[in-house]
Amino acid sequence: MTLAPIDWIIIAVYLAVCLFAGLWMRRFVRGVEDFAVAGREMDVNVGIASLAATELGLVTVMYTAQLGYDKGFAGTMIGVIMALAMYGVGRTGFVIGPMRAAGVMTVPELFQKRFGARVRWLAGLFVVLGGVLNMGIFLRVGGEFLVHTTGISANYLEWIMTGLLGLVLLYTVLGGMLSVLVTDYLQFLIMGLGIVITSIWVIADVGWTALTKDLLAHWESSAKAGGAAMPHPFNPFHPTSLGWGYILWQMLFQVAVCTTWQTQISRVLAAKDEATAKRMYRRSAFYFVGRFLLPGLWGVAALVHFKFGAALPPGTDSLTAMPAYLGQLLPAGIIGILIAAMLAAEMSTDSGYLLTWATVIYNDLLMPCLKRPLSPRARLVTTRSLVVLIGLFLVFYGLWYELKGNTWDYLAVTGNIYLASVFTLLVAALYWPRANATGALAALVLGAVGPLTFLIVNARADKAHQIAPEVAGASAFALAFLGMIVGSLVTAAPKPSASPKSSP
Amino acid sequence: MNFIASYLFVAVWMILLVTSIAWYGFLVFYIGFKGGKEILEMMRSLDRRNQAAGEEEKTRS
Repeated sequence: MTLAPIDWIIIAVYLAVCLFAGLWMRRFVRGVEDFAVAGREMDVNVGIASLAATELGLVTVMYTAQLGYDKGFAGTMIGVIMALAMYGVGRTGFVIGPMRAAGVMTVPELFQKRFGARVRWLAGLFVVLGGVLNMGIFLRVGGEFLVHTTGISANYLEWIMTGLLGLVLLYTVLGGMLSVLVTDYLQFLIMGLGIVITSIWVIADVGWTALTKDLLAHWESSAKAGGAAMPHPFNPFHPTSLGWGYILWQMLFQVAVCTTWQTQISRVLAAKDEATAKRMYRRSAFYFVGRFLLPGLWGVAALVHFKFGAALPPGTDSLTAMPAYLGQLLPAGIIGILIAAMLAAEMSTDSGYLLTWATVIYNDLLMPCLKRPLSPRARLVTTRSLVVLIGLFLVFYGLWYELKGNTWDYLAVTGNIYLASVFTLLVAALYWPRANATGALAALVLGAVGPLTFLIVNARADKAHQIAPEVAGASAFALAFLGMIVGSLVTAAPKPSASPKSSP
Repeated sequence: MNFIASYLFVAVWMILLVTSIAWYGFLVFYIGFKGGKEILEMMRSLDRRNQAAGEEEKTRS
């Protein structure tokens, strides 16, 4: 499939409008507060658009479709768990309420008030390490989508993705969070449109009844044949599917994501007030069901279309089956809308992530080491330079890192490098008066052991000896909690004045 | 039993799928309208703040 002129026009108009809007917001940036948290002027609907656009990247579409292809609809259960976690946190204000009230710019900044500067710095390091490693595969996985949907030669993948990142860098470096919010809003609209049209097109192509019948018939025949059975395509609790262990780990993991993942929390911190932040979470909760389910549907349809792998085109696997299928299915004009939508997904995620990690590096790694505070202008220049440096890292890491296994598991485990430990620190800082700096340091180190061991062992071991992602993930949480409890109880209690809930 | 459970899950996924498509479609229009208004208001508010800061700087100098 090659793109028709109408597709190119749709893509070019979308990119031009985004770039213009992003650059326009530059005029409002007066300091780091505007650059990092949009002067805390964000209201609820822009917040929903920004949160949803940032958390639904092209990489998300790819890994959720891969989950659909590998595990059927049952694989998209993760989206249901995430939606429940978002709603629960938005309803109760668990962690996000007191965090917004504390008036901080990043999660590690909160730790200084309770555990001291050393813990803040180390937490910042873990946040950046986990976050940037996690983001490292975005470009390549996103590029795979474009290559397989459009039929463009794979030789151009690096150039296309570098060009796209360059565009994102331009408006993010100049306009910071203000540009990110406005471009996220536009990207949310085009993404929503593209996802709805494509999903309806896919259902019309495969037919819901035929799809479910084919999936169940294939599962039943594979179960009867014995050997490695196909996962149950609808029941996530079935032993051949995700299973209870994985689902329980995901419940804990998704609560940690909602309360700790810095790109999500930066929207909480940019919100006008605590009530706006909670409302934003509640109202965007159901969006996360579709975030997994709709691309998951595309993956499931690709599985049936390619006759359960038997008719896969050469050079295509479970990750690239969905874009190859959509490339064959969608007509001119619609494919242009889909590609514009997916570029929107990639750009909104990249801009949000670049800004977030740059803010943490500046705020929690560099600033605490400086003897004298930088001038407002120097602060802005430093943060902008960090955005560019992370962008350069992404281009090089994304080019040489070869992903083995399931994309979602890689993302979940690299994210876990900091999620388990920082989540433990947050909960303890806000709700356990006995927690102290020793416990915090122990939790940080022990929480990172599980995911790092997973990354190292699984990069070297053959498939039979690899560690299961739920084992690595759950052990990270268990070790972090153990470190916090034991570390705090065996050392002196903190002074009663240390409270993170008061603003500086 | 397995048969019933399978079809129960099929029904659940179908409901979630239809609701998701409808919700995404609704949000495009709802957020498109409300979010657009909020962005304009945010820009006006930032403009007012920047003008006030500029005037304060002028008065000081």
